[in-house]
Amino acid sequence: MSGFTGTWTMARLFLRRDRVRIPVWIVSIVLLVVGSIAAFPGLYETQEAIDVRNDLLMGNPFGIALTGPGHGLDQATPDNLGPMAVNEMGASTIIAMAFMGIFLVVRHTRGEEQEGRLELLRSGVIGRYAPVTAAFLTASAASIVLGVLLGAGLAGYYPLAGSMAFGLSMASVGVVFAAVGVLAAQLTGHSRAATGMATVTFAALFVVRVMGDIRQSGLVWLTPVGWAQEIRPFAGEQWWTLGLSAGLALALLGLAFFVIERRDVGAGVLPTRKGRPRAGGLLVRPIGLALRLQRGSLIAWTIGMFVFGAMLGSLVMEAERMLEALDVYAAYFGDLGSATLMETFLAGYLVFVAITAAGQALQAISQLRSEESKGHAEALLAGSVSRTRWLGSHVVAALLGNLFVLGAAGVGAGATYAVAIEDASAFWPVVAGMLIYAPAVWLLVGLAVALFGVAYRAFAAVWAPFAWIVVVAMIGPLLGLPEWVMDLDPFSFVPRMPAEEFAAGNLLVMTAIAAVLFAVGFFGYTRRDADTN
Amino acid sequence: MTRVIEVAGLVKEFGTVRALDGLDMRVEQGEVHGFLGPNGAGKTTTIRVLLGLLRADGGTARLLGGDPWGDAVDLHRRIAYVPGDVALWPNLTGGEAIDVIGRARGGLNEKRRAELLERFDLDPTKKARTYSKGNRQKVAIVAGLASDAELLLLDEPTSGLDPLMEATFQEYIRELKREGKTVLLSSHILAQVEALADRVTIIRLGRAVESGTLDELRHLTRTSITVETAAPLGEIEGFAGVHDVSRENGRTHFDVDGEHLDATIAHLSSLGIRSLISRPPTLEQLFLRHYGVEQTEGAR
Repeated sequence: MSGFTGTWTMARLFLRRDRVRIPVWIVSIVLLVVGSIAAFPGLYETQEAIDVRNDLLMGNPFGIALTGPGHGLDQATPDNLGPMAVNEMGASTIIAMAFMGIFLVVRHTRGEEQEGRLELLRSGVIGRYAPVTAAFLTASAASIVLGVLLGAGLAGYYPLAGSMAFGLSMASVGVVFAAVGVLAAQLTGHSRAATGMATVTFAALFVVRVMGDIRQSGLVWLTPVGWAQEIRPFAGEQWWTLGLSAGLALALLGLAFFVIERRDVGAGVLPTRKGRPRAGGLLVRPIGLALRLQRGSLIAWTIGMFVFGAMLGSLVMEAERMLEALDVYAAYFGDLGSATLMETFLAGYLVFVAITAAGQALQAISQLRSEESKGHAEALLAGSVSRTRWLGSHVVAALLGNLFVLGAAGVGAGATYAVAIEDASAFWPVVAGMLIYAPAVWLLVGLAVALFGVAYRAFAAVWAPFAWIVVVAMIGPLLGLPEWVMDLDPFSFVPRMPAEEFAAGNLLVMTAIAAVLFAVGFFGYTRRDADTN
Repeated sequence: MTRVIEVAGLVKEFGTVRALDGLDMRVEQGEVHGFLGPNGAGKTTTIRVLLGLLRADGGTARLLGGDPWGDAVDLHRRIAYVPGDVALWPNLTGGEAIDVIGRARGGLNEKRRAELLERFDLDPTKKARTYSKGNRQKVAIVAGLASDAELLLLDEPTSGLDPLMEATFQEYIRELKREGKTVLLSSHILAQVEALADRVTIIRLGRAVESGTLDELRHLTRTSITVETAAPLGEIEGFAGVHDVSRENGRTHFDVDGEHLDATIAHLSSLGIRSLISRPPTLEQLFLRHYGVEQTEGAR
């Protein structure tokens, strides 16, 4: 069919452009999952440890939300840890796979179209469906390679069939959400909107699976996230669920073709509205512009983090029942000291919220680079805006936005926690416990600004320490890493309020280091060439 | 006259590429100065150095009596800049972008803003991502020209505009010139520079290859002659300074170097001129001569 002419050419272009990106996705996800699973035999040497862990997580809706349905857990023994590995790693891998699928396709479909490059390609011998098909195939191939490597990695520890079932079920998530991304890219006129739409779709489908798992109802069959879990690795594999995912992906792709057939290049389907003819008083200031540019994302983050916080707070009560035998959790949360179990539980999870919020801060500060490389900064710098003022506006906007997001999470967690333990005075310590992570975030933002000033081409490296912090927070204690390695995580130096007392010492040190990094960034930026091309 | 821009021996390197290689240029107050060169000659790099976006590696550049790098912010209050490749924030409307850019420059002349929107027929309520290339260019032009700046740096400002809008643009530049403003107009559209510029600097491979008024430059160049004479013209190819001879219907076309024009006309006159058309060289020809000839020299 002529509509597909040039698909292979396009796929080669995408592979060329993603020759770093795709391997990074694959290697990081595979290493993270296989690395954690390698630690399992050492952690669960006795049947008792296994039972405690499973009761703890499966008896608690929050635990189920973070893991999965737990098929085959009742048969888990020190010699059969496969079901636990799947349970432990499944949900987080699903999230990573969905993001990979969405990001990879939106970048090459709506992203290319928005930049006007698609027009150039489509004027050549490239069929109407070719770019979209190529993007889908590229992302699917990446997912499948990832899935097979994941399966091979697991097969080093567990039976081959179950390992491959897990790997391929994860691949199916990547494939399905690549298709969701392709469709979203056809419906919206802008890549950020497309990513947003696809991500929200994923979040909704994930929540359906959480509800289905908690109620143990058929709801799980309504979502591709559920299908991926219902393949049941190590618990009587139901391979046919892969067919459901493949069918859905193809149907979504067909729907995308249907839309492509009916829309103009460059346009979406959802209407674009008229805007204001004049800029408001805030927008014409660099700080106002910086805030405006992250408005949509800030609103989404604020809502998301509020819900995240509220979910944690409200589940504390539920968890308390389960926190009696704490061998596994002790590994995460350390010695309990005088704090109540609930406070410890809550404080332990606030770290994860804070790290997520750090992701928001890095995303916001990354705007520096995109504003510069897209030539937007030039328009202001050619005016009477100094480099210091321009950079300062973006830094302030990022830090303010982040405080707002941390605050929203703190209010969410504090309010529900205070209601749960029926003690209004518990509210503020939780909000404070969230906000005191700000200096650790500043450290990361400071690093980003320093890179921007002195080594802007390596700006993307800001994500490396962030990835490291995520790894340490998620599986560091389980891996039994040496203390000095764990200490490379600034978030570990923040007092765990409300379980611990507030102490300013570490926070001041981090703030001071961050200030030095900011200074380096400003110094470098005011002395280097603007990156104009 | 005051020098508004004075550039001497300017050097800018990007890695191993020498984008500016000892550029000299002078722009006097109140003139429209054409800055001509093919793509990649270094026009945009020069303007970015003048804007303090790039730091020169050698030579000197003075702008309105100040240092373009060190005094960037203060100088920019007196400068308006229109880039040739406009990057706008996709989710801001054209009107918002004009205000953002204008305010960054230190403020807009409201009356002029409204007038320019009208004259360039631009809808300020549309989001920038829905604009065509020409409309994006209009946003930059409105934002730049609506300021009360004394110096305008225009970097291929009308790329993507249709001829009607091009005419509107030229009209406006003439008005600005009458108000006494100085304009540096970088372009590879020769007709535009011919129509507007008082003086021209031609740049190639990061170096000024020629500079002066259009008249001065023409002095160095050839005039195109089409002539019909009473007596047969005979072999004119051998005459000094005569090039590219061709014959058609009894008429002879040729180009003649400025310095040999007088002698050539005297010779024609002695043969009895029946009709004669002489055209001044266009900048296209100037260009062809500079780049055509020098490129073959380079290939040798």
